[in-house]
Amino acid sequence: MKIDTLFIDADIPINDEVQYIISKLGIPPIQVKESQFVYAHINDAHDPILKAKKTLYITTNRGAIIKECPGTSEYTCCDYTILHTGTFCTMDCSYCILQAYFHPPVLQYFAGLDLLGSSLKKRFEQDKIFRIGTGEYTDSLIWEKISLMPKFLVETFAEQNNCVLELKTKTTNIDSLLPLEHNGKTILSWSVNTPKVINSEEKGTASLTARLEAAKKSQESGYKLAFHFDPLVIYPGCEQEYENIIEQIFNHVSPDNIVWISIGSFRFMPDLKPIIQSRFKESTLCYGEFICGLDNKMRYFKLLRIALYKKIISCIKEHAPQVLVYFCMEDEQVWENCMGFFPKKEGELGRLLDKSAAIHCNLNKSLL
Amino acid sequence: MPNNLFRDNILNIDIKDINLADERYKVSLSKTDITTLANSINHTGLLYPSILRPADNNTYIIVSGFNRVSALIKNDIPNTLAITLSPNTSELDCYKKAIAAYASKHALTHAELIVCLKHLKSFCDEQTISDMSLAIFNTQLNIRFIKDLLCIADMPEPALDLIHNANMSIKSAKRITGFSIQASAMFLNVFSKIKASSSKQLEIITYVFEISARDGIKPETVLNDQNIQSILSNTDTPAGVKANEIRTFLYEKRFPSLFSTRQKVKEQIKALKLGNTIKLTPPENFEGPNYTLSFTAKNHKEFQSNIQKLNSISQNDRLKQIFTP
Repeated sequence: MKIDTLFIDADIPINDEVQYIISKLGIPPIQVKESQFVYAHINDAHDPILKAKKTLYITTNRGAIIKECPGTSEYTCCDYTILHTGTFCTMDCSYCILQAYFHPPVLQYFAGLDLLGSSLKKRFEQDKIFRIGTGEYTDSLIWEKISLMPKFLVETFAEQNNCVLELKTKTTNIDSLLPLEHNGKTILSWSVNTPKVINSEEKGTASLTARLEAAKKSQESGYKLAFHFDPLVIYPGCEQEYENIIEQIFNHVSPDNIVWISIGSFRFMPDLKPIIQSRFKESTLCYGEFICGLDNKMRYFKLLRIALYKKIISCIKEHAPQVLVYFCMEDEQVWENCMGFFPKKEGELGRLLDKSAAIHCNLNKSLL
Repeated sequence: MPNNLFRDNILNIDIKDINLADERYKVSLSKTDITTLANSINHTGLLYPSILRPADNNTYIIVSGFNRVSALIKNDIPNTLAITLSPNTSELDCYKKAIAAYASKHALTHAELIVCLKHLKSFCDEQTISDMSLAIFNTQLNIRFIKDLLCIADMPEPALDLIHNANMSIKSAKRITGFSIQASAMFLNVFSKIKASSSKQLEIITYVFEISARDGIKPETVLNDQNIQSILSNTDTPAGVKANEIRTFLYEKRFPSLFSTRQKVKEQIKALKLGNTIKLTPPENFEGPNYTLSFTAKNHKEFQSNIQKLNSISQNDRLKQIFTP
């Protein structure tokens, strides 16, 4: 989605960081004193969500810059740390929870690399391993085309040894990152899905082949990689198609460079369903066998989840038995059935991931 | 031209001059037994005159008072005092008077509201109707509600009858308007043969919509399924039971894996022969981790009997299978 409107908070200085975005977008910025003006601009549109994808608002982060992933008590969380650099996305995935999460949704870039740097410095000084990502409230690399932030983050993380940065994306926006001295502290990761799901549900994203080609290029530049099979969509014949993806991944990259692979099936807050039905009329995504989960999100019926997970895990293990595979938000029964173990203790899954990050990204192993 | 042509008058009118066949201003959709009203008129006379509109050939059309005129005829009364509208009274004003006269005495049903709004909509927009609704309908109608009802007004028969007789809710009717004419007609056919609450109707509509969207078939194909048609045509089954049978059938189609797992576990639990006092319940939708076992006991003997029963089945393979569906 091409950004056609640019708002900037009136109190933000037009420094190099902001000027870079303005010059890349090539559209005259509109300075606003109140964010209400931006919200009104979006809400007045026939499709506010679509409008929000074309409207960039450069502002400051008035909340926490770094926070822990909330997770839920009913399903096991990976204890990820979120770096809050912006919100929303220019791509248009039907299942994207951000459509229902923000009221209204606003494509925000949080200016202030210096503040970001100082917040990270506090984490870098701690005797603890952190896995930090920017892909929770936005796609990490949509910003690579228009801002200096991804480059800044890669270079900042390169200077320390206890934190790893994960940039999660469905784009192929990696060109400016390839020549950087990343020191192995950045993991470039891709959400992957079947070509059928990408074509029907992930509007504006890169094709599977393009994503894997980008991963290959990143590997050649020394980056460590990760893949996220999330959201898995269950439909007739999907098992074979997910297995094909696994095959393609290992045709492109070496298992040795993969820090982790996560798996999660499509789950959604009930509020998202009418949005998908209204904005993506051709989508059949919501009409799977969903039940209300213990966290009040809709999830596929557990036996269907387990059946697909087993196939995928077995296929991954066939190609790369040593790669760490984990579930995003699943329960003990699913773990035991599919993996043969369950990281029961609090923080246990996080520690497994920390260990993999430490080994692959050469973090300070004494912190494990 | 005499003055009385320009204003409403109370005149003595011959009943034979009233055109009973013209019901364009009739608001009520209920079929009323006029015997009671006829008796009342016999005893106390006509308390409220009808409202009539002059028509061609010295005849009159009833604007308000259809039952009163019928009761007078039943009583063989040849003439009556009636409020006679000026001949130049507009069609809109006639409708307004008809609605106001009825609404001042009865709360309009949704179906009656729909009929009235449809008439008014041919003269004014929703905003104007909303603005005058308190004066005419004796209640404030907001624009959104008016729009919803007008949307339903274009549905084919027997939509209004179903709404009027509480066989179809306004919510359900509104949902059905989103379907094709053919599918709408099939839904109306289903609702005319079953008895279901609004939430059950909405469940049926949702399942049909989602099955058709998922399978890429028309909703009418889902409704045309032989199983559904067979349920509908069974004259021995009460309408409420038919509704539940259709819901179950659609649920099975919508959630085939969940349904078959439930059935399988139900059969396995049944095969354990736990009796009436012991109940084993799997987690809801098999999502949570905990199965629930409960039993009742009137006395110590029953308590012991339950424990013995549970002990006897604890190593049963069927029981183990229940925990790994």
